[in-house]
Amino acid sequence: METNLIKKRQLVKYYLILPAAVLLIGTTVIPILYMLYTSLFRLDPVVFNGKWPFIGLGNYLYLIKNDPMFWTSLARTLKFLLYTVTPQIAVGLFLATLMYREFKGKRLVQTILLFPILATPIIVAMIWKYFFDFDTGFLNLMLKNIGLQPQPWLSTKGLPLVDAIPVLGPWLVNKFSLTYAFRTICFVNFWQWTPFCFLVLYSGMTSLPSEVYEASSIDGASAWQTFRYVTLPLLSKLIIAVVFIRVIDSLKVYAQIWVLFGNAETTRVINIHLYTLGFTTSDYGMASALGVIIILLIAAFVGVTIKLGGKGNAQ
Amino acid sequence: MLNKALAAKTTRKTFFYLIIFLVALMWAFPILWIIVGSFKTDRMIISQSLNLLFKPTLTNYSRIFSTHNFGKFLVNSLLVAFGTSVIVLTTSFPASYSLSRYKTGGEMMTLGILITRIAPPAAVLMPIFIIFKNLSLINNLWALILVNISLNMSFSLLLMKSFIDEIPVSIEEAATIEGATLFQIMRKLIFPLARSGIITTSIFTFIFSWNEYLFAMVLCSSNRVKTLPVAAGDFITAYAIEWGPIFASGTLILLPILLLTFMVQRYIVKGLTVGAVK
Repeated sequence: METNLIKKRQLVKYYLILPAAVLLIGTTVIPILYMLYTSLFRLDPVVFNGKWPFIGLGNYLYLIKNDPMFWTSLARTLKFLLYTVTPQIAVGLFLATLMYREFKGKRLVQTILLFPILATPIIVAMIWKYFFDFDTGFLNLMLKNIGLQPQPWLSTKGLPLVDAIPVLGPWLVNKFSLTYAFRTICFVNFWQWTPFCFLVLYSGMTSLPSEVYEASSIDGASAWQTFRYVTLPLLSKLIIAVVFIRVIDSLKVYAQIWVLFGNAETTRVINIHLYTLGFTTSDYGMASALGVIIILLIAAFVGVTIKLGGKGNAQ
Repeated sequence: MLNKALAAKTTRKTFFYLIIFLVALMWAFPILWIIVGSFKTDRMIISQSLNLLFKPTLTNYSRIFSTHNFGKFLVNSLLVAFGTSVIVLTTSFPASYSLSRYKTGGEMMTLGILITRIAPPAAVLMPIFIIFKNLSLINNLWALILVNISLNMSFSLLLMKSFIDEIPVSIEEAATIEGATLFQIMRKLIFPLARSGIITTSIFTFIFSWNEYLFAMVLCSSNRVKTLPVAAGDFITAYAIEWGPIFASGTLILLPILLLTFMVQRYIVKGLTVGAVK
């Protein structure tokens, strides 16, 4: 009788978790396994009967060997990470330091900074598509009003200062994606996600013991010294966590780029390339293979981070 | 001497407020400008003057609702966002309780849940599309709800768990001694005590599924089941851009998020920081 009760108690924890687990496994693990399977076939979207020719690793080999856009979009994804996450953390940290004091209107500014984090990504992209528009956009309207040249913010032209460098210019533009369009995409991402970095770093700072700041101000440390020798070391773990979260989230980017430039080759990141393979060229098998590659790359990144993090903890 | 120091202090203060003002301007102005612009005519929006003073008109709104059927899209969006939130909440609450109190599955389980949140949704676009195509669930709102459940479940589990973790176990022990069943404890004790966790989780699930674009575009593109972001996206990627209806649909989509940001700010801040700060 008693053992039955204990058994029942032990089973309860599984009953409680079951519905959520079924939903989560059913909608993540099963699709991933199915994608592994479909990536080995040449899927025909017209004759959609499941009897597809098996081509082994053919899709993977094609992507790696014969699809230059695969490598280009992969490299561009990495550039996108570098150009978005770095300024987001830097400015987020600056804003957090700036706001770490009482002043009039602080709550309002915090509310203003909260909104972009939750705003619909495609609407954010839409807002900036209007602001950056060449003929009617707000920015060029302002430039014209103060007598400056309107800029082709949404074009694939190289940035003027870089592009003007003889011989080397076009190469640099190409190598580092220094085009107006790509900068615009990075800016839109920066605008939407810097507030998140600010918010997390700010709440990290407010949870630090206030004595350390009092001590450093008594010792006569300058604002920069306090930041460099007090805030930064104490926040280092949190900063790494925010970088990690931002990298993971930046890798999910899709809607913003899609709305601004569709699948244009000069701004194509890996997610857009997958969509293009799947729904423009209707090559479901190839797109599945790319999905598998993306997941493997991210798993490798996360694995390395966890391993490095573990080492850091051990020391 | 004293005057000089005072002057320096005033300069610094002015400089500080100037930066704060620029920060506020940079993040508030674009949104305000679009909202205001949604009450202008197309001609005014694309004219070369700023038109700061104008007679507001509702033409853009009447256009998106009458000629573009935004009423239907609004209902679809609400169905998806509410449907997802209700299902995610009713399944993740008991599951998080189990994770928090029994450590079900141990560290590996938490890690596994975390991993499902890491992969970009676009990576699993193909299998989800092919599976739903096989099941003839393309252009079906349930398919979209299912995908949104998938996208939100792990975040909700971890968020809710962190809230339940904060409720002391001793309260439950006392209730057990008095003969309360597990179901009673969960319903009458934990549910009210985890209130802020439940509110936070619902807000995030609602907003994330309200904002979802990629899967909505692929799975529900027909007019009958289109959601608001997809309808707005159609305007933007169209050949001839009409800013008026775009501003109006953008304002409509941002409105609930704007309201939530002002009304339940406390919960939103907690939800955004709880995972990272830990």
